[in-house]
Amino acid sequence: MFKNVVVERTFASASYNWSVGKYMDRYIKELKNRKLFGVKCPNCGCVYLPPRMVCERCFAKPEEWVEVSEEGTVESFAIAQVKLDRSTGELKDLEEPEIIGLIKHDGTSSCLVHRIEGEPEDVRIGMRVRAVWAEETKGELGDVKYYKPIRGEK
Amino acid sequence: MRKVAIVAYGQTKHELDKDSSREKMVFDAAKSTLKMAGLTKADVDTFVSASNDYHDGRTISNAHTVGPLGADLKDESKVEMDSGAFAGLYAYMRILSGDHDVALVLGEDMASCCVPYMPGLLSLDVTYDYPMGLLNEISGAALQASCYMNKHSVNESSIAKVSVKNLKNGSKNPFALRQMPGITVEEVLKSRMLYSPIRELNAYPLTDGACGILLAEENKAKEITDKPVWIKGVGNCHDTYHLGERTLFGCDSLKLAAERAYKMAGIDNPEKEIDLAEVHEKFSPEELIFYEALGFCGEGEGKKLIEDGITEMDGELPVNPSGGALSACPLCAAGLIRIAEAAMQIREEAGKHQVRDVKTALAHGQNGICAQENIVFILGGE
Repeated sequence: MFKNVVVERTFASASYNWSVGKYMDRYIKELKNRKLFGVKCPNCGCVYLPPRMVCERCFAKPEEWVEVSEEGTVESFAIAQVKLDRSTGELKDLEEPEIIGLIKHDGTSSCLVHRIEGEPEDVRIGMRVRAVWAEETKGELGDVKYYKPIRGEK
Repeated sequence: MRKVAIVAYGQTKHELDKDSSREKMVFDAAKSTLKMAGLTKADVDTFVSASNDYHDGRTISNAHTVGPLGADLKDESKVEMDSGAFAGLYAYMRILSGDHDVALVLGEDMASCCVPYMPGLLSLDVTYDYPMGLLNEISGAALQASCYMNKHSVNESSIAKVSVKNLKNGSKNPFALRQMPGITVEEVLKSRMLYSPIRELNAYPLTDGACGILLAEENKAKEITDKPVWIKGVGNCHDTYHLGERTLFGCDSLKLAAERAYKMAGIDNPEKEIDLAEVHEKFSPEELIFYEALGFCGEGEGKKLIEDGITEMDGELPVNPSGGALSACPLCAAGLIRIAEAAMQIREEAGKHQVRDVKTALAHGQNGICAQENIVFILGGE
């Protein structure tokens, strides 16, 4: 904060209402049924999870819904020692590190970012993981709680 | 096609919690640029600035800086959320159109004004990544880094060496924010871990600062200066928004942007023909990825350039003698600073961070999480 001058603070509170679109709407609602639905591009055959209304590679609209496996592979990961406080912008130390994974579900062509449970030192790129559902699913993004390593597989 | 040159540049000292107002910061950078050219605002035909409404906390963030820029009652436009390098491209195009002969470009930012990292957070996909709360520009850079480092067996020491090189160079640049002349690999490796492998000293510092450059068509340029720095080539490219659909162990959009710039400039062998590069590395692993995308080495060989000292100030291909974005990174000016610094080197005006015999230089700017959008300029002297 400025030390030698007067600071005027302004508050710009703005909330926005986003339509998630019909594809994400179905994706989120299907989570309640413990199902992961992606969409397939008619042109290149790429499967997107979460679903996208546009295949950017082909400039085409994927139309076909595909149920996707709960299992996938860690394409990249980061061990978070901090959490970004959204109200202050402060990077606050975490008591327990959090594993952030870039996960590609089997049969899909895109990755999603999610949390991986486990020992940070055991996480590897190429590791196999499985989605873990909340005890009670509600049809919201939080229904997939995290991913856990599939034991016995590399 | 018209020839266009950079004829002057100017920067503020880059700091955090800069006591000067934003207006004064813009004025200082614009005034010093015009002063270097020996011109007044009346001599400038068109103005292009780069700033960001969210960073500023006011919509139409150029509305109140038009005057301090010298652009009141002039032909003027703003580029939103740009590192300043695209503002440079648009000013260049305005001169190429033949409608204008002299253009002032200015990028500015004050990180101390807004909530840190919030502008980056608000660029996320609101239907998934924002509500998930895991992704931000630093955790994104960590995913990019770990993907690249795993693919090409790069260790933490190599990315720390990028920080050491740039921070040492930055200590020779009076405008740089981080002044760390005695920095060592050990110190970088001991700095606070944020999102592994990104530590505090692998990440850009929050910065307040501004930078200007002045462009002019050939005849005007020769009137203004006997050391015009010509724009020989420019190329840009934008990758997909979705991180999960990008090649994270490389930078496809930079590779394509560079190919376009090289083609325009007639460069066949960048590794040999480029004498110096100023790249916009917001995180130190990115610099190694950029070496490869720019064709300075083969895929996976980025670490060799840093390990062998090739990109040191006295190496065969110095990269970021200014200290790069790791030394100072006002977000909407950091790309423009790269252009100003490259021009400064060609004109042999870089003082303690001057590199010898720079005839052809490359300047790079990027925007977006994990360098989604890239632009490359090739600059040359007479």
